[in-house]
Amino acid sequence: MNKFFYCGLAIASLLSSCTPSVPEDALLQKTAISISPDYDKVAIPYNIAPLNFKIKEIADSYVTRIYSSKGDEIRVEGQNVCIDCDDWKNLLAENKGDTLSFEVYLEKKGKWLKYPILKMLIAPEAIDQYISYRLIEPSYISYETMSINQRDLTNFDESVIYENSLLSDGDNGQCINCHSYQNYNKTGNMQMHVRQRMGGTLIVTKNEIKKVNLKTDQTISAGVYPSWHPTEMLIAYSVNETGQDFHTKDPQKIEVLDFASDLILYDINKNEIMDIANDKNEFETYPSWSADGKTLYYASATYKPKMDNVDSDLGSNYKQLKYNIYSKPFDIATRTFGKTDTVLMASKYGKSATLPRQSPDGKYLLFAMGDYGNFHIWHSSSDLYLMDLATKEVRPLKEVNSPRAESYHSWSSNGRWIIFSSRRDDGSYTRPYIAYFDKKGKAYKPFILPQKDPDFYMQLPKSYNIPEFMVEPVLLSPNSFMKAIEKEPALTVKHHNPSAEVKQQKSGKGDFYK
Amino acid sequence: MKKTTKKGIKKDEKLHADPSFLFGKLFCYLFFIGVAYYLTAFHNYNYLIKTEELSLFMPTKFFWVECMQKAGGLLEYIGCFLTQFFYYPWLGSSVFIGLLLLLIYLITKVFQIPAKFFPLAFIPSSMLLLAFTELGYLIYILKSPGYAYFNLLGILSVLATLWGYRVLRSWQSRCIFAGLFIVITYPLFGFYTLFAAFLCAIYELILFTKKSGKFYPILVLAGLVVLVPYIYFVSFYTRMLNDRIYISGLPAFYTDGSEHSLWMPFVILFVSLFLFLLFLIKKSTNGKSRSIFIFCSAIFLLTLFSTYSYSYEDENFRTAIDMDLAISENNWNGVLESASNLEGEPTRLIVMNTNLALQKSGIAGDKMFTYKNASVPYKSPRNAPYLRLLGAKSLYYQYGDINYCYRWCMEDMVEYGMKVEYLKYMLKCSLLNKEFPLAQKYINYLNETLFHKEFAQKYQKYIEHPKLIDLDPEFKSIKPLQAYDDVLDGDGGLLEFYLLNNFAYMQGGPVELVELSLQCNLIQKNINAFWPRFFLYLRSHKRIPVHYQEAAILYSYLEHKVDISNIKIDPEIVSRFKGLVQESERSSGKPEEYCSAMLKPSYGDTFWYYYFFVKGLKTN
Repeated sequence: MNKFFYCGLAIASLLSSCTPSVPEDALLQKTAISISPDYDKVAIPYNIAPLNFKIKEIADSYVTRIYSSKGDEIRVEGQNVCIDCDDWKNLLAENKGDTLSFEVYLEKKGKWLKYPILKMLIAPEAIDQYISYRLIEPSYISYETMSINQRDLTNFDESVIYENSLLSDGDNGQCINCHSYQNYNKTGNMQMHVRQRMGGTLIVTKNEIKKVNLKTDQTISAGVYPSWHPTEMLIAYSVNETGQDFHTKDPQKIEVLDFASDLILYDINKNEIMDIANDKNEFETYPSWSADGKTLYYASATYKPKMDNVDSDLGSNYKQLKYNIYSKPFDIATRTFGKTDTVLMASKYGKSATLPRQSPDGKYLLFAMGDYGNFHIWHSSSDLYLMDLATKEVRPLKEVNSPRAESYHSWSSNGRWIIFSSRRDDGSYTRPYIAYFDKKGKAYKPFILPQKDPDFYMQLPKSYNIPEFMVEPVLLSPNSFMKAIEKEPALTVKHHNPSAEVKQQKSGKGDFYK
Repeated sequence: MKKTTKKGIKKDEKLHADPSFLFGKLFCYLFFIGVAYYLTAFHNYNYLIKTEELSLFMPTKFFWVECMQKAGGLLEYIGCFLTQFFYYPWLGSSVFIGLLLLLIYLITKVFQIPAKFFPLAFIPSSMLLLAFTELGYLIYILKSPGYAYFNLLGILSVLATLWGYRVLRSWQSRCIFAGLFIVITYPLFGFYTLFAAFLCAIYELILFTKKSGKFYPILVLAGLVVLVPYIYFVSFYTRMLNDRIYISGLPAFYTDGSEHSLWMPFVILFVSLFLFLLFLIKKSTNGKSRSIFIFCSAIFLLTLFSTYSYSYEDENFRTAIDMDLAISENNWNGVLESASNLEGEPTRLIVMNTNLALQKSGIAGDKMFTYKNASVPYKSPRNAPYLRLLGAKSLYYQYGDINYCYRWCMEDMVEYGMKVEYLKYMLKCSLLNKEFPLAQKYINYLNETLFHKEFAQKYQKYIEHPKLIDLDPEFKSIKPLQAYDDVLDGDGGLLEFYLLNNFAYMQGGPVELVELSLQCNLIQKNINAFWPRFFLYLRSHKRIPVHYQEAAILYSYLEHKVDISNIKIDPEIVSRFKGLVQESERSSGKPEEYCSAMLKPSYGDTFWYYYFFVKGLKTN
């Protein structure tokens, strides 16, 4: 018995000696400690992976103490504050709605210094467990390896959904993009495009994959930007004629332009597409369904060329291209669209709004708005804006925005979290940021997607593209996708022209600022 | 187990110790080392420096994970690491040659090559040396990271494996070894694991025929060679082409026959290793050792001679690299010296680099038409836009087209992988664009390298003290050339075409831009665009460079539209022009080629000659 006691004591002593001690006589500093990533004053979900960070000061020793009002505190040694997953989960789970505090101690020349406490709010609501995104360099024309990945937000597990290297062969490259899920992948229905080699659109339903060719004689391209209907086997797409030109001097470097764009609706079961909007003087794009599937939002710019050569005209007058946000009611039973409503005339205010996405509770519309154009990730003027759909009041999400580009965004399934693309770190490499959005409609300072290695983003030469929340992961293996892509030719779709034409009337109902 | 008589072993040992054989071996070693050093540090000094610049190694977890995304990752990782040492060519060569010598030693040990056949042991190393020195322009586009060392390390791993396999006495232990080896090392060595397994299987077959081996290890080896890569592919790898799982790690040469010459060293390498297995069948105890040694030495010399002969040699390629390194140091005299030393006709890249150096030196107006001007094709088995690949970054950067320099760095980084050269330009472009966080990212990458920390640290200070940017001489020479408004444009990959047109159309601006515009219009032989820019130039310059005078006198003579009587034309130029007119009149009616040949000796260094006779230059 004594042997066991002393063994246990020895083990306990050993374990306790592994836990760093917090210096009691540390000198309190006035200036805040700088950490990377910057997680100070952010709001985090209680089920998020540890927010590991690096202390951006050189010292001889480092101790970080993490605690809240309940539960065991966590202590970490070292410049890289890498927190144990289980300890972190337990601490957060016990302190939902409370504040998480970080005390940082540095030892320099034998003296300990204590820095002002860093704080995080632990939100009471969970975040969806998964996200997916494409990893690709912030390049222009060329591409080589790219992958669509999914990440478990509760830990650091990341897996590849599909990588183009499986079927890209030298000059026969393959681009993959526009992954999109029905209802946060709860149904397992998803789609993504494969371009060039063995190109087509992959539609995943009930764990089987088919490859379709969405291009018809009546459309200007195959389907591009997708939006799954939340309940029906329908996907709204834009069809676009897209090009890009290079700034000779502007550090924004490139401008991606649509030279034409329309909207189509793809009925998966019937393998048919129909036109939603194809006005010759309008560039309709970025379709997005409302949460109840009864409204389709989209962006559109009016364009009447001043020259015969559209390319030259747009190349010279690209700053005049301003997108507004519109909506069309949708009758699920008859599969027909009603009259167009104007949601926001951003052009009236000299702005260009894109990527409208309604919150899951139907109360808000989140969109990106910049000075012109639609490919806002290349526009440092682009920020996220929120419209209250009841009052039509629009405001910039100042808590979330930065001086650099904010663009592609999506809501979590409970409407409490927003994930979006941002180039705030260096203006070039897009990173996924997550912001809390509480029930009162207040947004909080966003935090970057946490990684195990605090230096990860500094080393990664790729951008995160199209971050999307998912409740369920994609279960199909990359090989399954590969086999589906290898099936040639892709299934052709029929183009259905409804006999009744829907007249488009635009009414100005959106007020910009109140 | 190899059956060799004790008598056979003793005789071989004696041969190895025989002074004449010792001398022969020493001769082989020294000769090989001499040729290897000649083909690397001595003759290809700058090529080695460029090889290092077109590679990257970072001792980070991220870099390691990226390397391991394909089978053969460990060879790539170590290959990239060792490539760094080419930064100091003699050091890098020594490491490279040291490993080649290690390979020779292992070959003699593993295959127990008898003393009289010793010179044959140099064949694989010679082929690996040739594999490195045969590339030429391909070093810019070959998608085989760590190429210089990858295959060499792979062969070393093969030999180590075969050696380990050979020492195992029981067939059961050889089965276990085979299984573990293939499963564990396929991700590390890729194709070379499979090749090692192949050699082990052949060795086992030899033992089997000699009734000391079993068939089971051969089955295990064959089965695992087929299954293991496939299992890894379906369950683990997402970045490997399914067609390449059995050849992952072999160089990315084309297999359509157009690059068969590049494959030859590898074919000879693999065949020679396969044939060396014959030495394990039976040890020769016959006489005629000396004559066999001499015969093998002849093969050795032939191999080395072939290595020398087939190593890539092209004056334009060599000049391009010399110029590139000189440009990166702003050593314009060095660029011009390389241009002057060129004996043959130049590529467009050489011409553009020469013009750049002349412009930066402020003597383009006097000298740009005195240098050779041609459009010789790039000597390479692979079609690629070499002008854009080799020239876009440096030329766009030096001409102030910072965004375009950055663009091509990014595009090439995407296609060919991150390289020191790209990072350096991206860093400098980011600083010029005042994108400091972005510049910091590239500084952080370079800080991870072994030999480019100093470069990174220099520019780190620019981020901390941005005023240093304005004081930097290189940036100072570039900034005046950026005095234009932003427009949306695109070069379509046509470097020379874009630069010429871009500057030719510019009107006004700082004196540097005015002169550059004037020069581009001279190159384009655009008379109408010449005159306004010429007169604008005169406003700020007292002295008129030779070629501008030549153009003025010629254009005035041809069109009689502009009166140049008030312009101070050098009497010597006037006299020379009169001479040209007279000689031209004498040659009137003769074919153009005749006139060109007649006039070149006296007027080949003038704008006049360029205007009339330099035509049909192919560029992109």
